[in-house]
Formats: sequence, C-alpha cells, structure tokens
Amino acid sequence: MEISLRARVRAGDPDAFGQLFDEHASVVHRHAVRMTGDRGTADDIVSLTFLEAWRLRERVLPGDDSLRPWLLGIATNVTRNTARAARRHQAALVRIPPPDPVPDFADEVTRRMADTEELAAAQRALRRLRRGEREAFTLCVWEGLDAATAAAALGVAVGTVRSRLSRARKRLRKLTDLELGQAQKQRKAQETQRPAPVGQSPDSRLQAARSTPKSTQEKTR
Amino acid sequence: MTTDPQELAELLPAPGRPVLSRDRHRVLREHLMQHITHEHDTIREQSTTTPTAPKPSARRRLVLVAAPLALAAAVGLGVVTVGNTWDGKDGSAAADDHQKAVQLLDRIALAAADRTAVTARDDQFIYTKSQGSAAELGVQFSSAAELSQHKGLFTPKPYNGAVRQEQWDSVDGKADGLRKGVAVADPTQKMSMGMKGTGYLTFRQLQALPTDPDALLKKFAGDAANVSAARRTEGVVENLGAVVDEATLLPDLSAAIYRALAELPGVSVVDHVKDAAGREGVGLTFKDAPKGYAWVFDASSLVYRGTTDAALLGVGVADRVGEVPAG
Repeated sequence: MEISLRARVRAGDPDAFGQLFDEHASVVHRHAVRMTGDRGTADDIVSLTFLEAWRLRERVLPGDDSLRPWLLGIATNVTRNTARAARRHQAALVRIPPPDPVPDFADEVTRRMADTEELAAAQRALRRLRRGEREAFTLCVWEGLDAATAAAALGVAVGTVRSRLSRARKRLRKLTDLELGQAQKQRKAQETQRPAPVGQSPDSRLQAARSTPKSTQEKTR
Repeated sequence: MTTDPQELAELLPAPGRPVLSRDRHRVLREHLMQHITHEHDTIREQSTTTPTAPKPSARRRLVLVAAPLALAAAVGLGVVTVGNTWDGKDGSAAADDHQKAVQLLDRIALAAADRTAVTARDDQFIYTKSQGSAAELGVQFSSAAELSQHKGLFTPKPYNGAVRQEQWDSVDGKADGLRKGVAVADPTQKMSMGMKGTGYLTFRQLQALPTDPDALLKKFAGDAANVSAARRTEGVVENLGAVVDEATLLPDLSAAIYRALAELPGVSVVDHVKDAAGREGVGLTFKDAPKGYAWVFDASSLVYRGTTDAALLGVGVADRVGEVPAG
C-alpha cells in the first residue's frame, strides 16, 4: 500500500515537501499577494510558509485530506507576523535571490499594472477590517474554504469564523464601486475639477484626506 | 446574520490574478529543498551517532535551541502565546490565580449590575468611542483619491500610531451606521466610512441575550465543541469581547458576561496594566491570549476601560449618526 502524502510529510520526507510545494505554492502565493497587496512580501511569505510547514511537520494529522488549508493557515500566521517568522528563518532567507523586478513580456506588464490597481484598492478595503476579520474573510471568500475548514486552519471555533465574517460584512457593505474599483474614474473627475497639478506633496495628501470624509458624510445622511 | 461567501465576494471581490512565475517557483522551490535536505541530512547524522559520542556540533546546538520555539509556535497556530504568564505554573499556583480572578470578576459583576440600564429607541444609534492602533481598530487613512495618484506597485502603508475611533451602530440594525477615525498625533489624518446592515449583534439582540451566566456561556461557546477544550476560553473571550463595549449600557448583561468569564478556565488577574489610551487599571488576561493582552478595569470603580489593544473612551446613545451624545 502506498504511504499517504500526510504520512510522508510527517516523516520529513524531502520529496513529499517537493510535491507539496509544486501543488500548493501558487495558491499560497496568490493568498499572500492578496493579503498584503505586495508581490515582494508575497515571495517571502511563500518561502516562510513552507519553511514553517517543514518545522511544524509533526503536527500534521494522518488522513487523506488536502494539506492546502493547513498551508493557508500557516501562510496567514506568517503574514500576521512576517517579522517574527523571518527572524526565525533568517539564515535560510538570505540565500534566496531577489525577484527580477522587470517582468519578461509587455502584456505581462500591462496585466500587472491592472492587477496592481485592484490589489491596492482591495488593500484599502481590507485594512478597514480587524485582523481576525481580515483573515477569516480572505480564507473563506477569496480562497473558498468553508467556515469549518477555515476555523481549523486558524485554530478557532467555527462560530468565531462566522461572527468574524458577519462583522466583516458589515464593514464592507458601504464600500462602493467608487472606492473599490473606480479609482481611475475618480482621478479623471478630479483632474477636471482641480486644475492644479497633483503630485505626492504632503499638501495633496492632506487635501485628499480632507475631501473624502466630507463626501462620505454627505452620503450617509 | 448571513455570511454567504457569494454575497461577501460581491462586496469585495478577490483582487487581481497574481501568478507565481515559473522562474520564481523554481527559485523558491530549489531554496526550500536545499534547506530541507540539508536539515534532513543533519538529523540523520545525529540519529546514527557512533559509540564514541562526538562533541555536539554547533549545528546540533542550534537544533536544540529551536525546540522551545517550535513548541511555542505549535501552541500558537491561531494566536501567539509566547510568554503567557499562565503557562509553566504548577497546579496550585494556577488554582490560586484562578481563585483571584474569580473574586475580582465577582466584584466587577456586582459593580456592573449596580449601574443604571440605558434604553434606546429603534431609530437611535449606539455610540462608542475607542482608542488604539489603526490595525486593531481597522482604521485606514489613504483615500481613493490618494490611491489613484500612484502608479505601478503601491501598497498603502498601515498607520502606525494611535488612532481614535467613533462608531455609530443602529439600535435595531435597520439604519446605516458610521465610523470615523482620526490619528491622535495628527488630526488632519482622518477617515470616515458608512456601515450598512447589521454586524455581529444589534443592541436589540444584546438586550434579548440571556442574563444567566450559564445560558450566556452556552450561547457564546456555540459550536466550540469541535475545538479542543484548551482553546474554548479563547473563542468565548473573542465573542464576548465583540459585545462587551455596548454591553456596558446593559447592567444585567454586563454582570452576566463577567460571571460567565469567571467560569472559564485560564482567566487570571494582571495587577497593574494600562489600557490602549494609557490609563492604568487592573487587568484580566486569558490563556492563549496574545502577549500583554488584557481587559482593563478601573481599579476603584471597576468600570470596564477597554483592552490593552483598544481602550473604550465612551459609550452612549445618539439620535443620529455623527452626533456625539452629551455626558
């Protein structure tokens, strides 16, 4: 009889970790990019997640279920405290060459730019959630884990995941398309309203910060 | 309170289509395998130690040092637990700790039950004012306008200082709520966002909660049955923590919350602690809580002050959103 992947992972079989990486690295990477909005950090999170998985391998329970939720749970913890995980695996991390900053193809560049706007907008929304809400939301909604699986991955009760989702829902309900996806449209509208060039000076930051609360307040009542 | 993923996905769709490039996959995989095979061989070397017992190598010492860390991380898969005062005490000291917590909670419950209940109409709002870190309170300052000025890779950085948040929640959950945030050190950094729909529990639902500690505990432990008993306290504390601010308006519920806490294992007293606004008080901490985390109470009046992460500066009833209740 073939020995299960879980058993091999537990036993510290390097090939099993190779297989684990091949099967799940892309999902862990996607989760990390969406949680942080930053591709550089995401690469580190992928490395740290699998280093942590290796370190914690004896905690894997026997069975045939996919190890993806377990890895996503580790990735979530690593994201929560990247600094701490990085300190633990410092020696291992320094050996990784940094990613090539220039993507290989022109259409890749275009795709990345569109993605980047979406990612940054989503970050803005995510940051308005509490940490626990953010974690439950990204695992259940973006990665499609059911509440029970997410609860196991996060090590909390299913009810906790549900109540976090419910609180996340409340905070997200009012984030409109304007705030989320149509940053570009708004920029155009502002350019016509406000002829003065807008750079990254502290002034324009303040102006942006001041103008938004007002418009939100007007909407509310 | 529905938590349908489909509906949630419509509120905030998964952004982008991030792909781990084949090159990067190869680089990261090679790196992992290098680390693993290296350590794997080291472990094998150790297990085949010869009778001459060679001096432990520097590498071996590293492995030994790593063990307590691994244990800490294993316990803390959900929440970081390193340095929790509860761990490592012998049975009688732990029992003493618990006894002390039960006595304090009893006094807190009595004081809470003695306050006047606050009533509110369906069309009013529960106002809460808190202070803490931006991440803890979910306050984010960069606006859509600011965001749109950036090109290329850009991640809005979280604000690192303390923020003050005011929140208005509809009493019956039927009207839209509002949250406002401002940086304590820089009043020009502001946020304001509407909130639609009911969140966890509305004020009306809080009023309907059982005020018998056992019944309340049952309600808030919910499906914690499939969570190991050791983590039950953690879950209940989180759920009670989500309502404890508003519950300060309801003496019977507050008292029931504190009496319920007294029944949980792993609750202990921290004598001197400061809430997130720097006010000193007496604290209660919980097994498996993050390091330094505590609920804080005024040492003499035993009024709930919030937590070490988010101080509660005020609670009241307002007629409309944006309006700060008097007193």
